[in-house]
Amino acid sequence: MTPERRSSPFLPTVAAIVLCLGAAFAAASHLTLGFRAFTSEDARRLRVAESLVTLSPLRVVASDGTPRDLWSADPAARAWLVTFVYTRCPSACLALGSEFQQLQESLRANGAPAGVRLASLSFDRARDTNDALAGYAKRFRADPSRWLVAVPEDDVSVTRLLREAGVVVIDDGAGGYAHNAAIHVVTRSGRLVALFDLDRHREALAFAASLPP
Amino acid sequence: MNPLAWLEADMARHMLVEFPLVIALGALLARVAPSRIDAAVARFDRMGLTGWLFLSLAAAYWMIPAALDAAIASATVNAVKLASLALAGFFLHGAMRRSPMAIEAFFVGNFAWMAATVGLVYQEADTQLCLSYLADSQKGAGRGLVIVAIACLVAWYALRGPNGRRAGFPRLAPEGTRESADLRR
Repeated sequence: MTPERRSSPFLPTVAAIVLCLGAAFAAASHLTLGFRAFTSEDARRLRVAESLVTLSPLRVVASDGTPRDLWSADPAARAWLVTFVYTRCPSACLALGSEFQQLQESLRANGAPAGVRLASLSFDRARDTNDALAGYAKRFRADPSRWLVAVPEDDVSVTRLLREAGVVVIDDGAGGYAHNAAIHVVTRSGRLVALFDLDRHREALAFAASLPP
Repeated sequence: MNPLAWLEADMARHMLVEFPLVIALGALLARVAPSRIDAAVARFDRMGLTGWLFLSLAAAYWMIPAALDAAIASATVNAVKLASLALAGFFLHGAMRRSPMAIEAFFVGNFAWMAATVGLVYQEADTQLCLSYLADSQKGAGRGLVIVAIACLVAWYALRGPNGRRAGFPRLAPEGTRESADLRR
């Protein structure tokens, strides 16, 4: 038995306890962005609000079959309002489609902010063929000059896009998908600068319009 | 589908089947591990304090919704999760031989309180807390956590409480005569 053990047999235990507490504190603090977000969605919104999220350049195939490069290829586009969709979506996405339809009307109106574009990007590459996307665009009367309905060109791009945006798509148990839906405001440099709940589309538009060109 | 992916496809299976299984696996490993490992650990685990604390912290961490999502999203995080839970089980095996009843009561009670609270939050939340699990799955996990909390309390009291049979693990390590002397002091 060493002398220090005799003097304080609990010392190694106390040290181990302090180590455990410190490691747990550090891990929890890292996970929750300093104990501010206990769910991934809250963490995602914090990271976006702090301008920490950038989406890589992306090639998508539009509903008319033409390839488009996001986010900077269109010189007139300064901000994108992006939502993730799959065209078979029965309920939530229909509401979203009609909200985008209203946004499109706002963009057509006199005095509408210039350079704001809408994008409905599909994550369901297996089923969302050009025909399916064209059907979706037609159903909501999407004007191709303002509203891009498209799917990333390959599966790798879909995975990367969803991961970078922090979107998680899961099976909803009824043949469809569930995902953390929102309107994503993306600048032409690919920076994801704001997230708005779907029913706050007007605020999303106002925010996008306020961004510097 | 591999068995882990199946377990993790549902929130209740993930938390209430996979976690205990991995912890039990760790404890089983400790049972067959050479005794000199426990002898080395024992020095840092007087009265089982470190072992019980490690288990409490690991359990608390992996109940955070963001941690569950991270484990699903990343194979690395999932490996850390499995390793931390197995290690918690490994340490618990030794800690249970050293811990006096009062310390066990503290940690078991603390765990039960925490699991029941989290279980109620999972049931009451009107939003989906994990991106990887639907609200139904979350409610199921919430109910299960409350049941597990109560079951842990009852099982601990029956097996290791004042009238318990000290099932499974003698309270003191064979080489722990010094520990027992310390405790009596």
